[in-house]
Amino acid sequence: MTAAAGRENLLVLSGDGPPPKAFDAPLAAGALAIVPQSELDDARLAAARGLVTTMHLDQVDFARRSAALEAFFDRGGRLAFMGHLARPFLPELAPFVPLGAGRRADFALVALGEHAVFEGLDRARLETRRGVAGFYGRGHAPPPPGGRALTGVGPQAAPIDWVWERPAGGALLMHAGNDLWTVCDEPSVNVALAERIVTWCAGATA
Amino acid sequence: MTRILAIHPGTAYHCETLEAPRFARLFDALVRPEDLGDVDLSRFDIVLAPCRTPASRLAPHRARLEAYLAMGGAVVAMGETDQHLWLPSIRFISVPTNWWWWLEPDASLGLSIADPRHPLFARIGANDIAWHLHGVFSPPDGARSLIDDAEGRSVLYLDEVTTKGRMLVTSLDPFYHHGSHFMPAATRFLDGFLPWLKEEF
Repeated sequence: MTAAAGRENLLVLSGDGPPPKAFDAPLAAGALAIVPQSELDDARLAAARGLVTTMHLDQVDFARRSAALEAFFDRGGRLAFMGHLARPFLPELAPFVPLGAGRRADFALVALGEHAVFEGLDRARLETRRGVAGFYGRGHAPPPPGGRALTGVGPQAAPIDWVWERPAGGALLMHAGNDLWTVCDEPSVNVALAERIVTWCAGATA
Repeated sequence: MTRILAIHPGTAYHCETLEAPRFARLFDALVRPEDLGDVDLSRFDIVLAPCRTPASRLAPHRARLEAYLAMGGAVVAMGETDQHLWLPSIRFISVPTNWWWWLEPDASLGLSIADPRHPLFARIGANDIAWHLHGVFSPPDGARSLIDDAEGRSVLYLDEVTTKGRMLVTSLDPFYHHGSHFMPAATRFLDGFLPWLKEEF
């Protein structure tokens, strides 16, 4: 077993509710562990292989852990971040920029780049739920230099999804919207997105 | 003007609602749930817990909040906070959330203003209270319901009988929706509700 293989993938839960059903399989397989944010100490965070955070993350707390997060990335850690970035936790990051008026065209999605999490997935399937657009996301967080846009939203194709290989180590997958495992009417798509996120965090996909 | 202490649980939607210019001036201070014990609550007229503050972060302060109520303080407890775990006399009934009621022709969420003469409703109307319904309350005798569901159960009520203070309790979650840039009705609700708290409560 390599050092990386022995390190944890953590789903950080920030509310009192149960873990999302979409992660049942990786949790059952031991590929993912649940940790309440209030019980996540900096040493465990810094030692993790991968982290998945939700749109309910306590970002005030998270930003205070920037030293542990830098150590996590320095060791090659991968973070899948869901939601609006309110408190940039690395110096290269910038806060969420909301879309404007919220007209239908503002919520159009377009694929901008390939990535294992989205492989073979038509973004149009993620654009609406029950015919209503806007659940996927309503803005973007500007990627750092070197970030690679994956999905664009609205007339300007603002990068709502991107991946950034941090030069000093590690990687960040940003989805600046509702938790990715909730955005599709088809449950199997949400499960696939959750499982692909875990696989990416574990370093098994590029 | 009341002095409002708002609890800040730190999510993106709390940051947006509590810190962005639209409402920030209405809060005299923000406090992390874990730091409630470090604050002299008697300096404030209202302690406000925004929606979706995890009850596990408020329950450790239950005795402190009850002492604050006993000396005449006011607690405003917004929705999705499991108020029964950290406030007295709360009887909450969770209801299945119909996320899609507005897609049905002529549908209504069934919420109505229970006390139209209450000053709050000079600032918000029936179109500003309906987005989702997550639960209802059975308030104690003597409490005053301001918003009801279709079956006459309370969705927002004022309890001035359980303690020497006041508890304003609701299952509505406007901080979450406004702060997520997601629900114009929730924004309109806060546009009326928060200034009313500040100026009249």
